[in-house]
Amino acid sequence: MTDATRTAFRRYQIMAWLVGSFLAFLSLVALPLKYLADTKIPGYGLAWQLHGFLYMAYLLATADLGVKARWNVVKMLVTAVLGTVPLMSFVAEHRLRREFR
Amino acid sequence: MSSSSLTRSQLRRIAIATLVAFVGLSGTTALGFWQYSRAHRDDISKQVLAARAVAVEQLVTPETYVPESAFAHAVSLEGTLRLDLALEACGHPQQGDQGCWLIAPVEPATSGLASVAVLGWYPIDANDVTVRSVRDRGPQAVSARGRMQPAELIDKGKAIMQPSETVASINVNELAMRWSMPLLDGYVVLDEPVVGSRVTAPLILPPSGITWRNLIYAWQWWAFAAFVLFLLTRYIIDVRSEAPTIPTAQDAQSAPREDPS
Repeated sequence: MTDATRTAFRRYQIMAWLVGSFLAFLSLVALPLKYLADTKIPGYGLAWQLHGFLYMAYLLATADLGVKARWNVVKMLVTAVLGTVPLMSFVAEHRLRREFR
Repeated sequence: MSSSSLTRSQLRRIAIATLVAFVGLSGTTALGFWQYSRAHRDDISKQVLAARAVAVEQLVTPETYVPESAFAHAVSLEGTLRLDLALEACGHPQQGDQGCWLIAPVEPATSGLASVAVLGWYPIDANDVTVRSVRDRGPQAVSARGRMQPAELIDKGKAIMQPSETVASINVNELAMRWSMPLLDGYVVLDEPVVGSRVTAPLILPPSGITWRNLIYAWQWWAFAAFVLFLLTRYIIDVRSEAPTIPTAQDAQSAPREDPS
């Protein structure tokens, strides 16, 4: 693995964890609170906006890593989509970590 | 590698990928524009105020609330004005004077739910207007125009203190019970008063201005569109850079000759 790929993977890891944690909190805590307990966490709307921005950064990091590691498009697409499913970005990151080891 | 050296299989794969990307691009771009249009609501109030009158049923359906887009929309009311059920909703000052709105249901000429109409304003100490005198006029045919407004919030503390001819606010559920009839949400302020003077309270207009949340969503959709474009470009590069196949005689003939200089 080249230094450039390693750096790109590091960036991807940070984004995968950030997006994963944010999405897990929003979908597993904030959403049930809102719809089941009728309680909105402070800054609920803003939090989803922020998640949108984080996901855009995740997409950029995925694309960057995909280019540097010479992935095919399907792998890029699957990695990108996994960022939208709660907890799945952790799974994607874990598999890639093993691959890059 | 020139495009002429692409095999049929490669061309087919690129064509399919382009088609899929086109669908993705169209969807994300359209969603971006939809959010963008929702973000810019500067002109909605002007458009609503200028719109021609429509029947109330076109704006509000039974069991739904008045949508924000219908606030202050011109409406026409045709049917029977049930003056025999008139009530006053006090606590509606006008130009600094305390006063009441006189309200009554309008039953549509055809089938459908009745609407609440605000028939006019009068000062709280007016001697010439009483609910009883209005009720004595009885039901009468009406063809009027007005402006649609969302129902007011109920003040439960005040509601139980009200005398039988008075309501604390224009709350549709309370009025439906008082009048024993189902009602459409919201109320219509008539342009020409039936009782007292014209209601000059400021209209509740649809929200306007830039909605940053929608604007941000618009940009996010367009960012996804850019990612789709990136994936397509990347795919085409990948397909083109695959190991070249053995050129056919036709390919060899059509291949450009190298310039010796």
